[in-house]
Amino acid sequence: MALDPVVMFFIAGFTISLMRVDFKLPSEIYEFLSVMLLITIGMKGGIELSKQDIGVLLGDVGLMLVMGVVIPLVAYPILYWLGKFNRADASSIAAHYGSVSVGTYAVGVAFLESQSINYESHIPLYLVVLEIPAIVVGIILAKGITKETNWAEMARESILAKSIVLLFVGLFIGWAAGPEIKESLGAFFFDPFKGILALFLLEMGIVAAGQVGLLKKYGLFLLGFGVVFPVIAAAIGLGFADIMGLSLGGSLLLMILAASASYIAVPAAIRVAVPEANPGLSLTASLGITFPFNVIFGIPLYFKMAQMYLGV
Amino acid sequence: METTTKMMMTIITEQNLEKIILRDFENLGVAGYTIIEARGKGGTGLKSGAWMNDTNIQIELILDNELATKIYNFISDTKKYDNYSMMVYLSEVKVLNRHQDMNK
Repeated sequence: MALDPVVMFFIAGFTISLMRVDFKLPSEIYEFLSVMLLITIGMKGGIELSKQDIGVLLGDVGLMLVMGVVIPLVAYPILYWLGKFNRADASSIAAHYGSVSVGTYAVGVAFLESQSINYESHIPLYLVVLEIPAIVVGIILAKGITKETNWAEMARESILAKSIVLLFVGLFIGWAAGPEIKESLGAFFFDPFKGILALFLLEMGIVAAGQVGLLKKYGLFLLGFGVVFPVIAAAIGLGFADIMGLSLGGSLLLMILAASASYIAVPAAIRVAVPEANPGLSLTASLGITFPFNVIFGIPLYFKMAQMYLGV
Repeated sequence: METTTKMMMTIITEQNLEKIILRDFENLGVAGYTIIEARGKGGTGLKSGAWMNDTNIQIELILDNELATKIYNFISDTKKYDNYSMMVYLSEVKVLNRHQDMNK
């Protein structure tokens, strides 16, 4: 199977950065691209939500909260005992892996669209739900439940994080406006989705390659963890997809959510809540190793896993 | 040339710390400040400014001696910022007497 062109953009960005070509998108453009992706993904989900009864999804949303707690709890002992990381670093990395990456999810959506495979359209709702629990688990793992943590502020910071708010904006407007929104705004938001994603991935390739230099510093364990743990998490995701009875496409997206690691919302929240954790470690793992792995190798691999498991 | 001599305190630190440090400053009595997004390299590595978690800020405060000392002491004594990259320096500046200064 040929590589999706959007993935080639990622590899191109990664390569030109390793060649030390001095190029990066202006940060305002990067911001714009990520706003476009978040709103578009949210809106796609919202339109489909408008066609169904939201009440029946409540149980599944609860299951997603459980998954968001389970994954960092699986990651932590591996990091702490096998990886010999200290408590703060192990908790921080576990929080990153328990949360999700919208960029990776978007590549998964593009992967399914290019093969004309349908997926349950309320998955973006899970994307929102999964951002949060891992942050809370990470902080508790690092600090225990102490008065030192300002939970009210932590909740506000993580629930009102830009990425979550924008996804919600998209979800809500898509839900309120319904399918007609495709006619009025589709040309701006939906048609250029892959182009926007391609440019976003070009920049992500550059940023990810910038983390690679730190790998030498952090050693082989982190490299191994960044590749092996996503596959374990994807298998956990597949289990949850099975419980929820998702289709092949939906299962793949849920596996991607489970396998991906946050590199925007969680680093910012953990940097403030657990300052003694080394941010270089978790970012190198999530951005320098796991993001490229998932985008290039992981998604096709998870697709195979889902096909085998579901027997299709 | 009517000027008043003041202290300018410059703090270069991680963008993630912005909200926390500004709240501390406001509690100490700072009423005005300027923030500039910054890039650079130092003891804690390269800050390329390429994206949110990789950006520094430079905070500038124009202060009288008393408040400058108060903030300086706070930053030296507190353990809150121990794990963040931070550079603080003071310089004397002549401020044009234009209208009332906020950080009295």
